[in-house]
Amino acid sequence: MVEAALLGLAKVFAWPAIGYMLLGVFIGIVVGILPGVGGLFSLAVLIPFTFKMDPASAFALLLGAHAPSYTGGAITTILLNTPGDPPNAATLFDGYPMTKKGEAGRALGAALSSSAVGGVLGALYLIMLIPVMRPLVLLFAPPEFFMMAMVGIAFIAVISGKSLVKGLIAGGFGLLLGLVGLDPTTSIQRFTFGTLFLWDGIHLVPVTLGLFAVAEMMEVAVQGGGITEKMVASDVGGVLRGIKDTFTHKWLLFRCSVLGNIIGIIPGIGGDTACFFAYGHARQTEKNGDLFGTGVVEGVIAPQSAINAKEGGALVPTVAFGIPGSAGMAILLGAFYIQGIRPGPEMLNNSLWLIFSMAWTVALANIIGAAVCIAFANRMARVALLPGDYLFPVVLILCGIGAYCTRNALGDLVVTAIFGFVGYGMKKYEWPRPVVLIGLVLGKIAEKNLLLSLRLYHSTFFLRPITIVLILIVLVILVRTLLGRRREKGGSMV
Amino acid sequence: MRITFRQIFSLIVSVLLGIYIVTAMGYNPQARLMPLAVSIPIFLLSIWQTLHDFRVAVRRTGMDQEERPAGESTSTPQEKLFKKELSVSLWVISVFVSFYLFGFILTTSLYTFLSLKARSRMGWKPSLGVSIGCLVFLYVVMIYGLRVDLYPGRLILIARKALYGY
Repeated sequence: MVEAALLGLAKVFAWPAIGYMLLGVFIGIVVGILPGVGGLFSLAVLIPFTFKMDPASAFALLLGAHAPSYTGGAITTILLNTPGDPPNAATLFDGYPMTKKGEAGRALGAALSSSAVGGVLGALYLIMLIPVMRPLVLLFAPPEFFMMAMVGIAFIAVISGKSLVKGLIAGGFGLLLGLVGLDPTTSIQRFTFGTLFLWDGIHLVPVTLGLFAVAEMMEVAVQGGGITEKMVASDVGGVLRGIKDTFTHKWLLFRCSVLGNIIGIIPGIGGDTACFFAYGHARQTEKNGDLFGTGVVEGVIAPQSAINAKEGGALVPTVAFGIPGSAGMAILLGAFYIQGIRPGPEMLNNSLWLIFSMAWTVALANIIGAAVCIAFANRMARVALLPGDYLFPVVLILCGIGAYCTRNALGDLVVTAIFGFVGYGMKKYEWPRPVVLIGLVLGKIAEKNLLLSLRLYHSTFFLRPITIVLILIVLVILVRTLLGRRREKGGSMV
Repeated sequence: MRITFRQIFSLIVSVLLGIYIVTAMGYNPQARLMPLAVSIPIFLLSIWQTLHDFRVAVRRTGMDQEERPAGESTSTPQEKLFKKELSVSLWVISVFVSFYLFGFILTTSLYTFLSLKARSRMGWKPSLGVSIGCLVFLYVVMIYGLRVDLYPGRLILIARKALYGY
């Protein structure tokens, strides 16, 4: 095994693989910054170029582009409230408020460094998990997926803000949005109003762009001025402060990367949920949990480390069984077949070096990606000082392009516009917006797995050992949240 | 009682959830299980929230009448804000309508220029510079770099069909 690990490392540094990886990292960062055109896009676009490459070079290019895309996505998320990729959505809950407080550099430093460390940890977990992959993945079935979704939904109560009722309504609204489209078991059209576009449901990207980016630009335009009028005096060194913050919160970083990795390992939960789980977990466990949403650095570190760590986890079922752990891995699976490699036990026995080479590539690409972004972070942070008049048309156009590129559908433009107004109203009348996204992501997962669980295990599905543990986790989250709210002076139910 | 947009917003949420429930009732039992299980409690909560907002509005109206001297109006800043919000809303709607009618390339250059020149009253040079910059970015990164197939616009498609027959 050590031999395979060293061979994998040597293959990554060998020419031309290292060149392809660097090219991939550059493409990944650029694509990650653009809203709507995420890591999946870069994978899909780059796959045709790998036909004539050797396996090490092919995966160096693909994983090099995929791994840092969420790192690049953090930049627009923090500076413009416009998530570069759907999994970056949770980063904006505290990242953008930090920018508004004049701490854009610190937020960028924390996000980029936690992404890098999260990515490296994710790759290390992959290496450690190789011997125990099979039993770990087989522990999870639809009842466990359903309860995992329930854990995520329970976090709605945690991040509801001051008004629990408004949070529950908004979270429920998100869940209901997630149910739009074809019913997973009967294929009946639900809430589609005869529109073909809605058959596929409502996508996370246009909703996020509308709720946050368009709404924010509307507010900036109404109030005048820029995103922030001030930049904290020490913000020239803010990036360094953010990096220091990451290592100060090493346990949070470790916990969230483990959480992200586990979610990545479980096929069917979807990588988009990892950031919300990590954010909810950080809010519950950190001392300043009550301040989350107002611009605290822990709220940036937690989701970013989980997002990048999940990719290492998602590789586990992909290489062990040929079951993709995320949408990105599903595309990557195509590259395996192009290279004539069959993922599964055969790959574990005959091409173990390639798995190690992939893990090293993920780790290295994350470090290089973050280093490149950090080098320019201070300059990028000054975007927040630009007058709102300049940002208004540019961000709106970026949102339009991002929404359209998600599925090449004009309907997504309509969704973005509608949610722009909804988001503005929600912000103005103090309705929490992040919970809508959690509901939207988890609605479909919860429904599909509940119906499957009932069919396969009937009403006793919740008596499985892991399901019981997850039920207990849900109860602990809810009880702790409700007790915390009672203790809080300002926290009200309505 | 003076009804503000806060109450109207809560009311709209309740009405939308009500419509959702009525629509879900029309589906078969399996397809409506989850929608109804989620929407009914949420609907009840939204009614509670709406009533709460209206109660607060009634209380505030009473307080305002006690505190405000006779003849003094507080509606002017609100009216100004509303006018500003209306104007910004129209600009937001126009960009999305423009995407549909004129496509991404024309909208990027024209909308950026018009927004900076007409809405923000900026000079010719910065308006032109930013709009050209946006257009160059769109061409270099999206069209040539990433080979993204952007929508050309409904009117452009109609014009193309009329001129070239395809």
